[in-house]
Amino acid sequence: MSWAYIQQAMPDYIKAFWLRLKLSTIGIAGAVLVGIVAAFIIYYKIPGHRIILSYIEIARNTPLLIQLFFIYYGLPITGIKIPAQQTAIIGLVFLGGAYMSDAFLGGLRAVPKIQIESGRAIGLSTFQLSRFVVFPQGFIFSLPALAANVIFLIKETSIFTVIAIPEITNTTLDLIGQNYRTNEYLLMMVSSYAVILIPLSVFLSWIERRIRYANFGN
Amino acid sequence: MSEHLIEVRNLNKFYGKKKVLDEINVTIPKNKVTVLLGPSGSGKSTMIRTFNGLEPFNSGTITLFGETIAANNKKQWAIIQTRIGMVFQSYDLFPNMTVIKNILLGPLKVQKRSREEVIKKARDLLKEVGLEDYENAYPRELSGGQKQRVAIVRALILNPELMLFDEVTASLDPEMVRGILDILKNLANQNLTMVIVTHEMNFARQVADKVIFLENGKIIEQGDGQSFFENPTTKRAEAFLESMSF
Repeated sequence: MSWAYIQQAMPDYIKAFWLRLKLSTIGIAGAVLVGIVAAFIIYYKIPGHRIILSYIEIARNTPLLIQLFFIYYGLPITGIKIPAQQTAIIGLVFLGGAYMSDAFLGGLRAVPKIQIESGRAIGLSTFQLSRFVVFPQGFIFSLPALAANVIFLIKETSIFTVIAIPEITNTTLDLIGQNYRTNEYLLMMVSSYAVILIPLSVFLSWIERRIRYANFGN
Repeated sequence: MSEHLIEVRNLNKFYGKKKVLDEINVTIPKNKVTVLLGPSGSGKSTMIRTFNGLEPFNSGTITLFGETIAANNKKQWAIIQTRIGMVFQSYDLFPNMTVIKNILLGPLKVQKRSREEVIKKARDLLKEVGLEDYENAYPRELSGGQKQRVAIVRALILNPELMLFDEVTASLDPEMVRGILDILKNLANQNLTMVIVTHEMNFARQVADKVIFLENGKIIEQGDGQSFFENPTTKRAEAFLESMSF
């Protein structure tokens, strides 16, 4: 193990780290938005909800790798060219949206029927009921699944290497190819994931406990 | 307007093939207390829930405040619901809101009343039910009886013309039941139109201007409260009263 190689590679890893953080943040934020909208469409059986259900099935049953290939290498055949980073974000939103909608839907469905009836009994409209009763409570119920999805999606970013995005896995493979220092670069790669995933996991568990307690007292 | 706030005609309701409300014909008198009685599973709760549109029905009509509503007309129900208050058996406060937010949600968001006016009214009502110190508490910090009192305040602040109570004391400790029943008695004395589903027979006897007795989804007997308790006209009602007076 040579510290000199690690030190030398540090700037590349820091760059790759920030790039992954940027792509993950935008992708996960998009996935959460898609997930919320899709969950409400299914929950209220709004016309078109079957299309959303089909989207979820397709997104969850195809690997992100294939989705990225399709967007990056397949779509240009039809004349649609999307740059690598945007492809990565679209892929993450497409896949993540399906998982997030499942998480939110589980949360919304866990809201007791009596809560909805109480809201109706005081005259709340469907929108008001969603805004003040169903979503705030459903969100709490969906937190464990939501947190698991965030971590899953961050880990999925390692696949971005297949469309030549210089994120952590890609940087690692490049450096190993250049310098043949497998141990050093693999250690750097694992550390780069651990440094973000372990604190995030601890933080999400903490916030889940805090919010659950604040809302329901258990 | 007629002296009846609700007129139900030929109402039928099925759960699958099972008929849970069978040719219901009733009137609910204005400014009076109507008590629904009957054994468990007789259809009392289902019936009271049809009065504010929470339970869709299969056929028949309900005329509320002079307006006839056909089965499942959601738009009509949405307008009517703001004129009806309902309190349920289970504690139905929104756990993500404090007591005061639970109470203010309807008047501020649905009725669009001024914040100042409703806060003042909310505090007056909380004081009336002895919960003036709990406006910033969350439902989890309250006992069952306290939650039910807040639920009553939350319904009353909407100035309802009709109040529905569905077994509101059924989940409470005996000690807490008294407090809730006192509040209901007080409301009855204010001539608020009320429909109450209860198993508290002494209470029913004290407040009922009218009694509707149900079994297996059918109305077996209905009439004024005093006559029902003193001289039930059907054998079934007589047997029911006897079984309840142990």
